[in-house]
Amino acid sequence: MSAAEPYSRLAGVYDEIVVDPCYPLWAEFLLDLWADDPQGVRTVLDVCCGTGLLTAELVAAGLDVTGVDASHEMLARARTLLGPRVLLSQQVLPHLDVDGTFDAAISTFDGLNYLSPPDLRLTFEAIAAHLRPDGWLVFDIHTDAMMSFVLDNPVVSGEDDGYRFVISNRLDPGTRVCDTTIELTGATPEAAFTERHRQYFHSDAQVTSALAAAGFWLAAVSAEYTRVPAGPDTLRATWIARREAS
Amino acid sequence: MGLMRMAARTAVVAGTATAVSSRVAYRQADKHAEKQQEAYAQQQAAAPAPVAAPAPAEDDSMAKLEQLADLHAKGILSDEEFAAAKAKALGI
Repeated sequence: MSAAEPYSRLAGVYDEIVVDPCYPLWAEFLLDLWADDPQGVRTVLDVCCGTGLLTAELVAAGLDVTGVDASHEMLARARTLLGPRVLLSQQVLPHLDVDGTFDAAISTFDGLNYLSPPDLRLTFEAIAAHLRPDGWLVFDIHTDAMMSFVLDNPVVSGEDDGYRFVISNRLDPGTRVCDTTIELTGATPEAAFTERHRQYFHSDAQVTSALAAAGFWLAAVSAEYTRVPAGPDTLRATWIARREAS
Repeated sequence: MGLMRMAARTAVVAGTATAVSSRVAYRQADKHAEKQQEAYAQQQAAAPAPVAAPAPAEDDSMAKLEQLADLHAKGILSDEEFAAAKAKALGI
């Protein structure tokens, strides 16, 4: 079976078997974080919004959210979830062609790990161009602890919601590039697919310098959408950056 | 995306994650659950936090049940996943 485009088939089962109920907690963290901003956060750019589960949480909280994602199929699910009034746009980073200036940008569930280091820099610059002074950039990416986990557990198989899946990783700790294959089978032959995803385990130094080059200052790096500083065991680190005022 | 999180969750629930890695994943969940409330206090404290004493050796299945309960409480495990993992930990 030839591999499908990333997310073209995964989109169909994404909300059912890939994600866990983390989004309400993440949204609560973001809203609490932004509540302290005297300028207020009303407009948010959701970069790599996927099926729109977090977008929906923020929209429900009264924010004006624009979502962008590279995958047509993921955006189609987001459109169904969010209805016609939320602005959604297919964009392949670092290209980012959206209207307006936002109070905050977010990129959740390691979307930025899909970007090569040069593209990460360009993406930060593109986001900065769409943020107001002192605007927020909050994103999560994999940590070195996650890299260790993947190296220790290169192949994982399981069963969920009537599907069987095998997730295989080929991770080069030298280049920090990881090729992931998911093979999924379901009740019918048509349900089966294979997808390959390439991610980059950005080092803290790479991210820090890319942020600075794009005109951001780093406010905090915390453990997965909490106020707890990221530690050596943190699998998913949340980076909180602010656009320079001038 | 979540494929690596999905893999980590699956490996921990199935008990196939390597010992070191599953400890990391468990500690992650424990921290998430327990330290959220203490976070501000710890951040405010000027003095470095005392180094935590190593956890006393516990009965394996009890420790695993507590860890699973944390994962369940945080929503990382669904009711069904928690029930299945609990049954497995208890050997039933």
